[in-house]
Amino acid sequence: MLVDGLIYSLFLHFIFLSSTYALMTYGMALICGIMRIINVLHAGFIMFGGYFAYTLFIYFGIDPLLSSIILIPIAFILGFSIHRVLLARLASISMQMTLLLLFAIWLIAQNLALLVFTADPRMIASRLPYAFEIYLGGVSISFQRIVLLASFILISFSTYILLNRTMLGKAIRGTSQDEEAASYCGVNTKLIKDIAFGIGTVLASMFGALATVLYPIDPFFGTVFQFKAFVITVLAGMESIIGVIVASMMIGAIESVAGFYLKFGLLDIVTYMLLLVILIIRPQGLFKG
Amino acid sequence: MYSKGAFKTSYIAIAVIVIIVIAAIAIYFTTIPAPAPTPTTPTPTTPTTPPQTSQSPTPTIPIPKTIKVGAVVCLTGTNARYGQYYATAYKLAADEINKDGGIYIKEYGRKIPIELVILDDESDREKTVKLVEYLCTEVKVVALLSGCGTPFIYPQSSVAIREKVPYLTAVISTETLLEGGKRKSPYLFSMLVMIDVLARNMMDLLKENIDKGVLPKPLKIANIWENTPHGLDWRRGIYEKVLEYPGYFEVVVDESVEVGATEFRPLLLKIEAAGANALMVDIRLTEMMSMHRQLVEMGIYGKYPVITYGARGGEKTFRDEFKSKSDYVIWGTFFSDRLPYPQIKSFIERWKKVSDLPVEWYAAVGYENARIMFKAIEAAGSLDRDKIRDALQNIVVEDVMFPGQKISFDEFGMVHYPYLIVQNVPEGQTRIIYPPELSEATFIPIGK
Amino acid sequence: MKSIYRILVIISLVIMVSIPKISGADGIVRYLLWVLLIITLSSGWNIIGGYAGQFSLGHSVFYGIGAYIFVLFFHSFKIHWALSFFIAGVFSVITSIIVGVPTLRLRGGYFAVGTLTLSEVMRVWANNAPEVFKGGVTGVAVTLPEGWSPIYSYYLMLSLTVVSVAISYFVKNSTLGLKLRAIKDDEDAAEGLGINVLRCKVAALMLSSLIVSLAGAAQITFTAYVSPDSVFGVKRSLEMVLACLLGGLGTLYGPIIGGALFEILARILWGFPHLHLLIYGGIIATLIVFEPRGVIGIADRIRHILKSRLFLR
Repeated sequence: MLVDGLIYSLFLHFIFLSSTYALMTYGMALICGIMRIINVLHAGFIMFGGYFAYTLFIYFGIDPLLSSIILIPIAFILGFSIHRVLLARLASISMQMTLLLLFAIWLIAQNLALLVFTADPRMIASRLPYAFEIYLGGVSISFQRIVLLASFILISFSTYILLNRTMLGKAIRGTSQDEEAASYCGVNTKLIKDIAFGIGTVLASMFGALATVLYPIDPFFGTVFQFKAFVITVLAGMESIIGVIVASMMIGAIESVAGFYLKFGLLDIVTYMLLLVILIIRPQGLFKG
Repeated sequence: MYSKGAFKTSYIAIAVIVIIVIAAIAIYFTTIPAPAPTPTTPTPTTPTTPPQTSQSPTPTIPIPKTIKVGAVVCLTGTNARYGQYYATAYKLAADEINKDGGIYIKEYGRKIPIELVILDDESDREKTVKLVEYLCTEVKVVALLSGCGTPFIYPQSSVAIREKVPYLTAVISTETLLEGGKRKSPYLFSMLVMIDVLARNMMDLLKENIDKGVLPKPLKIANIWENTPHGLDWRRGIYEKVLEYPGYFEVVVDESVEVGATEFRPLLLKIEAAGANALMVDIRLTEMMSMHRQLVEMGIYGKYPVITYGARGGEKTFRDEFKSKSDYVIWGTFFSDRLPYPQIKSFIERWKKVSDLPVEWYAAVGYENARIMFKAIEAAGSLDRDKIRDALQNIVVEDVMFPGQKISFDEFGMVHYPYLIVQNVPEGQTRIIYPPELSEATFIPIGK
Repeated sequence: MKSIYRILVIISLVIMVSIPKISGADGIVRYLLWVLLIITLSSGWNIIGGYAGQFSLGHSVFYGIGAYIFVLFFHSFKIHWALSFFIAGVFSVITSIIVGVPTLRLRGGYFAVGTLTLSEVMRVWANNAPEVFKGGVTGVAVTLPEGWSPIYSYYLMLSLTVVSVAISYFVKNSTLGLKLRAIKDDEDAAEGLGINVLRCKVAALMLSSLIVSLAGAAQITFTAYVSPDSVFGVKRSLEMVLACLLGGLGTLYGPIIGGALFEILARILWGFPHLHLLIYGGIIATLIVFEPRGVIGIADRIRHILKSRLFLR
């Protein structure tokens, strides 16, 4: 294989990887900004979205793209209710407790999935209508990646507009920056927090549904993604869409390059060490607000 | 809590501790099964048991109510897939024998039902040690059935050695049974052939095809393995054959993969850049499916004449997903429904009645694991652990579902029968291509 | 300490010491080994997590280091177990300083994530570096010396537990404890009072890690097995945290009650092989939602009810 083709292939991989990572992090970044804790239920929501899309495809032939749209109201109600019923009181008392509660809920979700779907990985990627390969400048990629990239752009755009150009978005950003001040401005912070959690859930589940376009789902599906989402969220400094995109690109770049030139098995450590270094040097993240 | 009230709270705390201690002891005594043997006089036997011989023990020797056989498997956690198979298979085997009243134990002159005690270690290696110890020391099982996979069998085996309980494992990595080339303990057995044998058999098959001109010489191998003892043994088998046949093989990429990896493109690019034409991979099912998807995406499928995922490749979930893009992948197994053995057909029917899981080799392995152990207990004629161990060492079991239909253990506690190498063919079928005496087709390189 | 306390403590110690003497108590001894282990671990964690309010979700780092150092010296170098024990302790204290100084500057959630990451890094590193961590991914099955019986481990664990609880008690009632409480309530205010926040946190971490890694070393004597997946990683860390939470965070008896309950719960759940994690998650969720202060919190509520309903003092 020519060296040119190689670099181009890695570059394409970098683009796709970054977009995937950014998409998976939006939900967590939003919730992190509002609740100031890492949402370990993120993986649970991703898994939920994944199994949802899988079930709809296998039993009704519904494409995951459509499933992700169907998910929007369902996931929103789910997230909203979980926050309102379980988390709202607790988050103000102790964020560590909230962390553990989220973990407990995730444990329940995982094992429910295990009971219903068994531990077998479920995959539908190759049966989708756009599971064919195309040649882009000499490199073979599957059309699914393009679909995913398009979804990413669409979702990023919509989320950006939601957060930065609507009153709701303003309220959310205000609440996450300074809750007291926001309430003085007349924002119903309780409701806003519930809503924000709902939106975060929607983003996470949509990612899960879209992920079935490429990956197999099993009950532990979100775990790997979740950790990377931590890293990116911390790097990005929360609630900044641009920040998330740039941070994802950094991680994407590192993984593409390191995966090729270094030992593939040690990729994770590289990412984790990066997180530790960032936490120690500049915990607010590289982008503020 | 730092006011004078704290004092009172602590009173209650202490009371709670006391209550808990009492509760713990109470629960403890209610969760362990009744110890065997129970000191009751024997009740009259049912008419189907053979009459007592003159050698039989006097009526005052207690007869155990059940034969306790234990197993700690991964019913939840990352390894849950296999645990579910093993647990179902063990139950199936035990239920079949218990239907007739149990195993006939000569020492007591009667059939005694089997009591299977299966515990879940949550895919946690520390818990697995704890649970096996519990089984050996408190439940006092007479024998242990296999755990799921080397990462769990290895810690379990050290407990079995210590407690001197015969343990029939389904392990395929030599580290569990041997240490420094010698057998670790007469209590450990494995009913599966070691994976490095599979790697070697595969390399032999490939060499044959290189000789026939079907495959290029030298065959450039990309060896990818998961970072577990399983993967390491696989790797060792491959390297042994590379050295044995100079000029035939060249390992151009040799990398490990961590559990949970999802994106393989950089690795695949590395493989492409190295000019490989044979992909020999030993990783878990989820990662394998991601990897295969990505190599189809990159156009690698169809380009390399040889793709193998070690002992995987025939799973229904893999075949359903990739359909024609999973054809011509080769893989190793002991169990194939293409073998013309009647016991296999019968087993498949019986399995379907008790489980929705597709019949994969774990089902067969679990079933035979239990069956062999039960036969050994019968051959021992006693529930003494040492006698069972000896019986296991000397037993010869016929009509097993594995190639050769026979199992017996050598001086290392290992077995010898050929690995089957199977190739996926269109329409979701498979063909056995190795060993020659059992094969029904020849190897077809991918892309032809 | 009030005299009634003293009597109760002495009585329970006497009971614990004499249990192995009862014949046929082998099973109870083995069971108690695990109970004592989790009690020790959660008492240790409590010092940094409960008293200082710094939720470390990566304490398994110290647990694993204790285990591996012990294996290295005891199993590989054949050094006497007591000395190996001591070295494990020293090593972990040093590590805690190295780890603590950079990470304890972080606030709340970040510290939790940082320690979590650290424990996962250790796990992946240990899996991939058999030169440093003997046995690599497979782990090492340690050969115990001839004639070793679980009763020796029992006394070892019992002494360790007593020591840990004692350390916990002394920290709680000392100036350090006071300072930690201040830090837990409001770190900035504490700084304003002139407390050297970082130094106090590191001190707490040192003590905490000492206890946890000695426990890690001690458990080798009865599990005789170590591997990265069984000592490092999130799961081990979370167990300590949950046991402490169950009993009551930041209290003296909390970890003890929580540890004992935790083990009982685990035992009961063995009877439900498919559902147990579901039930476990459910219990944790219910506990956190309704009584985040654990059993001690429930005890406190009972006291209030008694007081108000029955007009007791």
